[in-house]
Amino acid sequence: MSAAMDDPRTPTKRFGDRFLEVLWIRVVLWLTVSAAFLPGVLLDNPNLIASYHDEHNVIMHEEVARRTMAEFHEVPAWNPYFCGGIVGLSNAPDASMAPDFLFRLFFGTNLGRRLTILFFVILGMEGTFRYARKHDASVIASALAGIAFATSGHFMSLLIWGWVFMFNYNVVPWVALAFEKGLRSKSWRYLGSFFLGWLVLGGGTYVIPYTGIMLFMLLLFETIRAIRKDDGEQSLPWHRPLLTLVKIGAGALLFAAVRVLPLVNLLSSHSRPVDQVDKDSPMAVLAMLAFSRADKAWHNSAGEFYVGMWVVLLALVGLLFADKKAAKFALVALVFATFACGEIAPFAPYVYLHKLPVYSQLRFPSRMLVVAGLFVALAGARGLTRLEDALTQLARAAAARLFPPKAEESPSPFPPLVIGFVTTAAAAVVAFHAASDAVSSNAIAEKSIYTMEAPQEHHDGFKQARGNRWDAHIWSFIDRGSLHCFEEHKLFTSPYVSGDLAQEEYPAEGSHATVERLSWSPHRIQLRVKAEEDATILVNQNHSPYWKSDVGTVVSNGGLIGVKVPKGEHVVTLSYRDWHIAVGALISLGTLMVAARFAFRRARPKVLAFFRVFRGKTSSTEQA
Amino acid sequence: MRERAEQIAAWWMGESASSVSMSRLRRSVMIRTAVTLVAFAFACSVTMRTVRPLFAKKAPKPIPADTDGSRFGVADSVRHAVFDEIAAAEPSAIANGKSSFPGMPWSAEDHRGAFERQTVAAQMRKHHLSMTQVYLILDEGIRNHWPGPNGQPLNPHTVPLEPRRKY
Repeated sequence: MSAAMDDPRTPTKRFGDRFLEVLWIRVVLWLTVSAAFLPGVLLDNPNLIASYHDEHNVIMHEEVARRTMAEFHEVPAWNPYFCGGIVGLSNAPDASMAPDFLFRLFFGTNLGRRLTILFFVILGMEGTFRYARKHDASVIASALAGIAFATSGHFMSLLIWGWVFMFNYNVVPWVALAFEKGLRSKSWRYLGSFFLGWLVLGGGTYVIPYTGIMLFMLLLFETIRAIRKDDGEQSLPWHRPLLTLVKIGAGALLFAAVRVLPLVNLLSSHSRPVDQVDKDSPMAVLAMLAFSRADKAWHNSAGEFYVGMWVVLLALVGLLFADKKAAKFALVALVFATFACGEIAPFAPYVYLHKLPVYSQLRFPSRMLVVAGLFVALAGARGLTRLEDALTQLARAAAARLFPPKAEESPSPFPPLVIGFVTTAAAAVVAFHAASDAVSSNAIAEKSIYTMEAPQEHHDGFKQARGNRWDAHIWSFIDRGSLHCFEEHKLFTSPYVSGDLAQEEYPAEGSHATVERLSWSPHRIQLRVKAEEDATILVNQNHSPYWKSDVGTVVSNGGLIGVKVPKGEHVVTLSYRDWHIAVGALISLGTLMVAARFAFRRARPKVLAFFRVFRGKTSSTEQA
Repeated sequence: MRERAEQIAAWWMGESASSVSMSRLRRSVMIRTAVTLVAFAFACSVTMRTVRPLFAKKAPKPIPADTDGSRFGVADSVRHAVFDEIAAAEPSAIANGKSSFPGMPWSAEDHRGAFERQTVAAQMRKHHLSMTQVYLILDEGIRNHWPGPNGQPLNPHTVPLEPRRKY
């Protein structure tokens, strides 16, 4: 993982570097911090859920997707358990194709969600750590940045709301890292596509647009750097950053095609009505980032995005040292903080941003402070690093004065080691206090969020019920669909779907036929139909043009799924087939295969070289 | 001793592989591999310790099978009592929904659902039932057209989705 290999900006060698060089040592650190940050997540019974209705809604969506894949072995394109039948995979909050959904798939929805939270927090710490290291922050300072970001205040709110899928904010530092490393490394471009694609697959409306702004800013920085030839002979051509971003973006679209195609189809045909004015004063924005929830006297929203007062102060220290990297991070944080003020004035930047496609459908600009928090943490890392380096220089100067080396001897390694130990220890003390402040202020205490019993299972064949969206989590566990529902997008629902039918598939009024359900799954319904004459059969679900039948034709009947069948006895099979998903899945699979081949070809020589060195052989000794 | 200390110091400070001899490189790789393996084993053990409490907890019991005189583990009389109380609260919930969101049928119906949720919670406490059981009873009553307060069954339909433009 040597940055010097692929980047001319060679990192400074510091005494503490070796402490956290091994990934698994860092993982132990991240786990220890996670245990302190998430006692409520890790110790409360996973079969207890939060009482907030959004958590119920998300659990329903995830449980339906999990059941569809694990029990019915189908891609969750259609969700018959909500609103009388709506799109699944195309729905904006859907996360069923994201890599992290594997936790829900293997361990069940409730337990899987808890494991996902832990996984994302660790991923966020590691990603931020690596990104800070890329910018020559010391290991101690980088660890502080990772902890401050991944335990920042908004994640507590996300847990209360149940928006576990939006923990993929923790992938954002990986995207930034992959973009910057991808300027010189093909492997990192592939990784960048993977991480960006993960965000697309991961659901949620906010993370991808925010990541877009971040990437745009990083693109500007790198382009300016290339034009100014800051790296001398190793400077990149001016167009390389743009080309890199295009390649990463194209790769991400291909990787996430299984979701991109149906999602674009949905967004282009269904509105997400937004008509609200959001604004927060700069003081409120500062309070959200820099003051903990205990400091409500500063502002009612204090602490909502808290990264730690110490971290903010360290970021200022970085600026006081005139540190260019700290300034870069601070500038990104400032841009996001400015957007977070929302429509505070007619000329506010957010007013113009809100006119752009995609961004026009976003609410609550204060959520941009998550990304601002990331860059404040990174600037803080640079501040602490500069303090550490300054202390090292001071100590070296003092040591040289106190213990001048004798002319005939080579300099002893011990003073640098002692100095390194002392300065690293001093930085660790500061980092510990700063991290403790962030973690303890934002920690999820036991029995603070998860207080409600999870639903019990009851299976007697799928039926629509009137339901209740405020407790949406109940219905899929008891084989019922909840007609009472809420979605951000204005999805089509029929007024005729009903919660009191004796059977869910039945002949339309005036049709002389009998209908018997032979089998049912979310995407495939098999019926035995005996029609005395040409008849219309109704299914108690919303119509969609992607429902097809192997007998007769599918029509919309009052917004319900109707099948016009000819006279006679038939076994009718209705299937939901969205070609956007089928084509997208093929593209995604193809991209994965290409990436796997590339990874294998890249890894093989490295593995072989490792074993050669391990056996004490080099190419020259082998030839001899 | 001094040479060994210098070697350790050089390795600690991240001396590049190209500047060291093959034997030192091999030793360095072996040390790194050993450290990585030990750290990996330790990380696995810490991971297990961290997530063990989650795996130790039991899942909620499924709804009991139906028997003569009981469904969903609840006696007939209790189920009817629960449904009657939820149904009795419905007219006021509808009225409250309409008055809170005049001219916005979906929002009014959504609001009714929020009131219904409160009634369901009250029935859970009163009859010591789970939320799943109370909603199953409500569904049973609507599906079987049990009479509501005015003698008519509850409306089995909802209003088509019409999300509000602001919250």
